[in-house]
Amino acid sequence: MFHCIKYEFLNLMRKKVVVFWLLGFPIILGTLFYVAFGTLADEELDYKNIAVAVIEKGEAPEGFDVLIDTLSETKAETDEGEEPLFLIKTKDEAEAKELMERGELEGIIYSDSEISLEVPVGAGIRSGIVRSVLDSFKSRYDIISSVAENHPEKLPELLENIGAEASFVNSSSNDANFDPYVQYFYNLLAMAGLMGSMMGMYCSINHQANLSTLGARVEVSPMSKTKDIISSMIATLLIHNIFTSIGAAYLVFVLRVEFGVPFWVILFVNFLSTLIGDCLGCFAGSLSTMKEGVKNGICLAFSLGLCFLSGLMVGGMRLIIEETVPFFNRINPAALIVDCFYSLCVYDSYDKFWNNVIVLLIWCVLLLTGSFVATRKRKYKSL
Amino acid sequence: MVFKAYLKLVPSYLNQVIMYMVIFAVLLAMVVVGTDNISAGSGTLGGFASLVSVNDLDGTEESKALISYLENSPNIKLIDIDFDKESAVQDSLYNRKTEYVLTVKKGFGESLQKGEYENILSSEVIGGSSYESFVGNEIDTYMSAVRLYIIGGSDSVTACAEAAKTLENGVKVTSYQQEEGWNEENKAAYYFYNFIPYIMIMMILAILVPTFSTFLNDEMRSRSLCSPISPVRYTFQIIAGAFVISIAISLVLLVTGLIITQGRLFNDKSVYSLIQMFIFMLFSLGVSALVGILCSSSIKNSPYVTSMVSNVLGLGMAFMCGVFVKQSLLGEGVLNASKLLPAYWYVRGNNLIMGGDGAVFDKGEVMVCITVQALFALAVFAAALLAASLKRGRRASK
Amino acid sequence: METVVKIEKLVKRYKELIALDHLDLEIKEGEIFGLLGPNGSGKTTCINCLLNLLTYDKGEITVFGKKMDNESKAKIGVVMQNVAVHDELSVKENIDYFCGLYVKDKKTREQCVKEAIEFVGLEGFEKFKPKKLSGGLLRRLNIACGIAHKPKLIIMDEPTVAVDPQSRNKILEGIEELNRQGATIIYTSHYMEEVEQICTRIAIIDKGKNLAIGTKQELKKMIKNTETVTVEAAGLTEEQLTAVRQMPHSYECRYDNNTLTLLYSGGKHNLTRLLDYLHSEEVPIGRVYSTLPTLNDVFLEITGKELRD
Repeated sequence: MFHCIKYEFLNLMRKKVVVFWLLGFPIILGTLFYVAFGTLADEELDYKNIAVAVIEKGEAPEGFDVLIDTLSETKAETDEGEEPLFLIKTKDEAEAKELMERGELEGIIYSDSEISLEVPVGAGIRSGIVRSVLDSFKSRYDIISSVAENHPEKLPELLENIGAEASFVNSSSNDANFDPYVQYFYNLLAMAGLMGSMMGMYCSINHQANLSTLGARVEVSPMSKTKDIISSMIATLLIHNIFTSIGAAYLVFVLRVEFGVPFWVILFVNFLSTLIGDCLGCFAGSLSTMKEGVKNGICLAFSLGLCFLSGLMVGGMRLIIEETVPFFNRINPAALIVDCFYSLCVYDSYDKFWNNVIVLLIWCVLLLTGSFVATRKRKYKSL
Repeated sequence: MVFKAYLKLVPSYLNQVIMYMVIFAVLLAMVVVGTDNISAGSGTLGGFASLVSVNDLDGTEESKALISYLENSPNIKLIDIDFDKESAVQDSLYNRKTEYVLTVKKGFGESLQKGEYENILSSEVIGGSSYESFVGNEIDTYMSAVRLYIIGGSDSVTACAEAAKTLENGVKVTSYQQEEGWNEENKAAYYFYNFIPYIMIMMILAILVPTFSTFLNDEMRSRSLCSPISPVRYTFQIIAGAFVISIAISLVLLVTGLIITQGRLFNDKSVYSLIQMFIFMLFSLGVSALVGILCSSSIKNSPYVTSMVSNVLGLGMAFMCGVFVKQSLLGEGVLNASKLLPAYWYVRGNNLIMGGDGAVFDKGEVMVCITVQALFALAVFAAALLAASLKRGRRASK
Repeated sequence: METVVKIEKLVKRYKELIALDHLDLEIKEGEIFGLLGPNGSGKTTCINCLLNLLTYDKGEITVFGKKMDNESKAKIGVVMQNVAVHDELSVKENIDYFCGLYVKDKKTREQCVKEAIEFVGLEGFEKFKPKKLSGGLLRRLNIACGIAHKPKLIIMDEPTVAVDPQSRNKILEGIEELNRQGATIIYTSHYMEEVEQICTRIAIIDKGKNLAIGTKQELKKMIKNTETVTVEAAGLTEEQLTAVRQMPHSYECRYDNNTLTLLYSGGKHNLTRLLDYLHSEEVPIGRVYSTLPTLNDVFLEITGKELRD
């Protein structure tokens, strides 16, 4: 048995296709995800030099000029390299409109007794910032005028407190570092597992007389078929786990992706997903006498399809399915794998995690049984 | 004759093409039908609603005022959860039924009356929710106003009412519709053309690489060189076959797009979009010729090589060049690197044409993008020819 | 001598097609048994039924005196028609892998693998991957994988298809050597020269039926033709031809392009008699051949068609 495992291992290990899809591809895709999403968090905080135009239409509320000046002033002298929030491009209305047309402005501020703002259609978050700055000015202005009118004696106290920023909500987030894009990496691991179906396929093809001459050669030997298939499965799983572990280690230790779960959990879930992937392939491989290339394509399409539905390509996919056909998320192995990681990030307890693991185990048992039933035959109607 | 034989090979590789077609259709349908969920990161302040649940343990006038303020906020949607159930909060956060759970602690009203603001509200959010800071901000803004009114001498209930009223009267905002900028009506078309670089290269490679390598492998070529057909004609017919297939794929894509977007695929600037699509198709054709030639010596492996190359190239370009994630959200380093890929110029061109991602139409710039793509297509064809002649040279010297 | 394989009234159907039609075979220990038949005649089907890979509809197969079991399987070596080796394993690893399915002991196996490599002449190629081997060498590897464990019964299903003449001779010599070492060999082929060269007993199969069985001599005796005489003789007249036709034992006479062909059935001194007659008629004679019947003639006469069509 060890003999079979050894050679099965060597044979698979040297298959470039296998190495590419199970080791190279997840790493490449992981790097791409990292490249695409890694910078997002930093980018969002970079709100400086927002291009605006300020048009004076009439008498602005008191203090408004000061606000605009402060926000648009380059504080190069005081804080080194500090850039202003606003970059005033023009004060001329016609020019402002023209700039707006060319998409070079985030907003036009009309300073009048009533301040108003004009933003381009489909304005982004930068326009939103302009708006919130103005809103906050206006509300404070309104408060001051209201207090000045109703309780003038309280005005000094109010003015003392008006600049104070305060947070009123004690927030308790489960994991402060949780990054929504980490879900892409969960999916990546699910994919790396399910893609093993390509390798599992060889388990049945190379050991079934009706699928390959190689299989026939093995079947005419006194080697017990069960032993043979099992050792082939062990070799496959072994390689697969080595590959996925390398991939996971690359993500965690090289790219420093925050999975939010302990590394052993990643390895454990990986093991389950490799088992599912390999059995799936083994089962698919033994189904009928299609060409190897076709089976390969089916395995690839199937595993990628499941991953697509759990959000590998489009992050929100899993939630959309949760809303429309929640049952599918309960049985889609890729979604379950993603959920294993995700649930640990959200819940403090392992209940949900084990729930998912149990369903995954049921899948494993079903597919294992399926592949044994499918490969159990020793005699064939035709070869 | 060669041409006909070429076309006859196509059906054997159709399954993959159909798979990508389905992926494309689903992707597009999702984006067009339910963009709200997907473009969460893109940060348009206009049309989103943050899902908030409030657990009011206080039940005083003050707390009710807070809830009604949140209820009236245009970007917040209140969601009821059964707070009596132990795991309800986590479950609903987990399934994203709600994104922000606010607990108004007992004694909230009393604290306000006393002018104390510590430990009166707490929140539970799903880590990393895009709206987390937004909802927090909204509450802080409101509470600040309440606090200021209380300092200003109002009692807590009045202060709440005043704060709500003040905040309601925010700055008047008007929208400016750029003539050449983003237009909601173009949304479907924008996403359709944006996905093209990914789907086009996947489909064309899947179908053309195996056919190319079948026709260009040594035996096949030698055999046909022995026949009366001239080598130039042979090559020409193969390319013609590939061209026809590519056009067919493009048409199928357009038809799918038309069906899913319910005909919203064309506008006055579509001619540029179609030119871009055509050039990108030529580029994909060139790549498949190149790959086909390179792996023609071992046809057995070509389906594997194809899927490797197409996945790495397709997904790589898609992620780096802004097909799946907007270019404005990508890091500068990534963008600089992706300028070496045609998909960058395609996406940039598409942004300019459609006014997407903050860009505004500029004919000159669009032409630059198109030219760069054309140069990429030319370069890849040249590389394919070079590879072919090198290969022939090597065979001759064998 | 002991019977190694016995096949009785074997019937195998693939839906409508009858692949084996009440086939009987008996193979004795120490034989090189040739299964000869055109493509699609049922040779491989017969072998696969024998190996217990295929179900069959009727009949009985015994190997080493009993139904096929693992004990028997251990004594059988199979060389498949298609090359079946692992692409990513080297020559040595491949042989070791397949040998290991039969031989558990590591030391014995090492020796077996070494001998098998020497036997097929793959020394120096141990580290090569199958992809790097030429067609002939690949076939030899295929054989080495099948025989490394020193089986008592070796089944070879067309092992020389698409092999260059040198490799083919090497393979055929090897088979005879294996036989000398005590192995019983079943050899299927549609190359009758090969079968004629090495097989001690031959069965001719067509359309799933065993048409004839016996040694070369026995098979040849089954047919009418015993000798074919060809003479280049210019300008024979009608009278002379009539005389030639009436020669004893000759049953067919052809004359075209100044070449006279006579087919004989039995009789002695046929050639001398013909030459004497031609000499007496003063007919100028060119080249003269006398050939004994080949298996092809046997096959032609039995099935009515050429072996290789």
